[in-house]
Amino acid sequence: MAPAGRLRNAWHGASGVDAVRVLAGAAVAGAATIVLLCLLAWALPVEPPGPALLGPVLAALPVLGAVAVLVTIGLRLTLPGQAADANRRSRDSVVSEVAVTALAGSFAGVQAHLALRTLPAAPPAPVRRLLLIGASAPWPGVVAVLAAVPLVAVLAAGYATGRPSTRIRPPVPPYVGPLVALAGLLGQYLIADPGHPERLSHGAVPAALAGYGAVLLGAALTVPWLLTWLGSGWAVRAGRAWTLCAARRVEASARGLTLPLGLITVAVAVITTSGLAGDHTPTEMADAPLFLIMTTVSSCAAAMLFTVVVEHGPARRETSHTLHSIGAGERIDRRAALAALVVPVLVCVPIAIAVGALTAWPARGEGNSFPTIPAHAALLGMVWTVGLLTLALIAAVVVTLRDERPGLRRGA
Amino acid sequence: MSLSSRPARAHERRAVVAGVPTTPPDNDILRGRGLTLTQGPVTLLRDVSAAVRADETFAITGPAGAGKSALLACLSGVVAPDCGEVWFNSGPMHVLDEKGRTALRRRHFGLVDGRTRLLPELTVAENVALPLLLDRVRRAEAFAIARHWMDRLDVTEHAESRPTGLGPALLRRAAVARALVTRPAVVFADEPAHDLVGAELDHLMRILVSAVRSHGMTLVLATAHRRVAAHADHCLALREGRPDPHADGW
Repeated sequence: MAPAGRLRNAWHGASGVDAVRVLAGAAVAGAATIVLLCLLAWALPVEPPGPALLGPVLAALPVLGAVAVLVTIGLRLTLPGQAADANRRSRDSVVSEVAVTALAGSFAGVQAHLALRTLPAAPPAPVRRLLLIGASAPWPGVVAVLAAVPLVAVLAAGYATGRPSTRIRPPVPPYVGPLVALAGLLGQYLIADPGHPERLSHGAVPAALAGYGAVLLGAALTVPWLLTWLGSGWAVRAGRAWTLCAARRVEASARGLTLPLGLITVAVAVITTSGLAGDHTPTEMADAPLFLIMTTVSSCAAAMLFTVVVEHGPARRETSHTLHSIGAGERIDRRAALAALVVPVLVCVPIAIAVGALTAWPARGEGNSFPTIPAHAALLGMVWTVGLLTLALIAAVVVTLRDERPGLRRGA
Repeated sequence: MSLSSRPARAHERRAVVAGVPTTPPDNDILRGRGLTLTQGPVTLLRDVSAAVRADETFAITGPAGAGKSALLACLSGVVAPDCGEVWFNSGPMHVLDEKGRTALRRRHFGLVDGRTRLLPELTVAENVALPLLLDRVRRAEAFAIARHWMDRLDVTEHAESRPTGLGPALLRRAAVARALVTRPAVVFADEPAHDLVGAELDHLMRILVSAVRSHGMTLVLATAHRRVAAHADHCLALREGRPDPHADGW
């Protein structure tokens, strides 16, 4: 064997485990564990009394969300050939690798957190408080932290290795999404008293929240179905080659983009509700958990959107090659590719804003029970979400156009 | 003879004739002379010449890596050779830019690539009708013509199916229908029976050759398969990017 080959085998190992991927996975798990332990320490009931437990738990969600997204993206981008035709055994081995890596990383994170406490230089009081955890920490909390990171990593690995097909209809029947959304809206409007929103009885709060959740879930499920319907309807009327290709690509991408589009819908809808129904008070630290969740949700959506675009690169290059060989100019392929990228987002964002506005109406007024944040924070969230989405789209467009360069097409 | 079996448009002819060098054309519909093509450090073709008569079936043969697909790509204008000339119907193709060659391919050539899938997101009928839509034929008319060719190639039953999951024989027949749907002057087929054996291979080649002959088209095959090459009127054997003087040994 050549020296280069031996070196590569020594680095990657005979098992096919990628050392870089393992180290990166452990680092992500370790860092997430340190942050979660800091949050746990922050929530400990010390004098003066700490914040309520709900806040840190909500704040932990973005951390776990970030772990899930990083694991998903890392696996999808480092398993190019395997995942396409992966059998169950190879998928299981990848998931096991992620589980062991995350567990080891979590233990290392706990050790690192303890080591930070013993640093000789005295940190400032707020930082010291974040490190106040160790033997006196509630063991269920530490166990939960140790279990949460590997669990999320394993779930993300399972999702990443079972990659979506390019041509399947949405997994749920098309009528489920609109029905759930309508049921939620109906529930909200029946419970709410538009004339006197402050009269919402305490017992109705869970029902109103469940209705709001149903509306969000229904909207997230409806968007892919709507895209499929829109794409197929467009395709049967398309009279030009690029519109036909674009319509069919929009239809085909509905399944692959189900999760990112659903997350975008939820994030934009919640922010719209908050913007319309939230109070006009200055932003406070208490708003941070919800704001963080929305930020993470939109970040995850943008990252997933970009990942799906990168993943479908080989299929796109082959399509481009075929179109080129039968005499399609570059503009035809480019227009179709760009339309297939932009149309889903253009469908998703207005629907999310409409849903958010519809749910904001019964939630408006003082004392509403919906998870709203001040209007300023909502505006900031909207700018963040739309800006991030725009950036992801621009990046996706750059990748798509790069895939269509003649040099790459020739090699396809 | 006319440029193709379809009425030629004036601006198309101008596109082909623009900047004609002084070399006199001959009676070949397609002619490549001194073609050399490199890709990175690899030389795919070295000074290869080929001439194809109108209405004939011409086969480029040879083992894997001989340069068959490269020569076909040069003759069909998919790739511009690094050196040499390509003439189509007395017009020089080698002076055309990428856009000009693409337009020429769309209007006068049909391509079958046995290894390239149909577009997976389109239905079989849409795949077959695509070259007509590219040529701005009205949708209804394009799909009517596509249906005629699908009937002829026995793929109508799966017209509304997506290519994913269909058998290789059906996919190859659909690819042939897509290449023939515009009634091109020349049909280029690179391993048209890829992955097919026995009766399926013979069936596909019989349909392809009879359709091409009945419509007065020229067929250029690139194949490593003797059974496919047996349908040709003339053959050019290649080995390592050069004409093979010991073609019998292939």
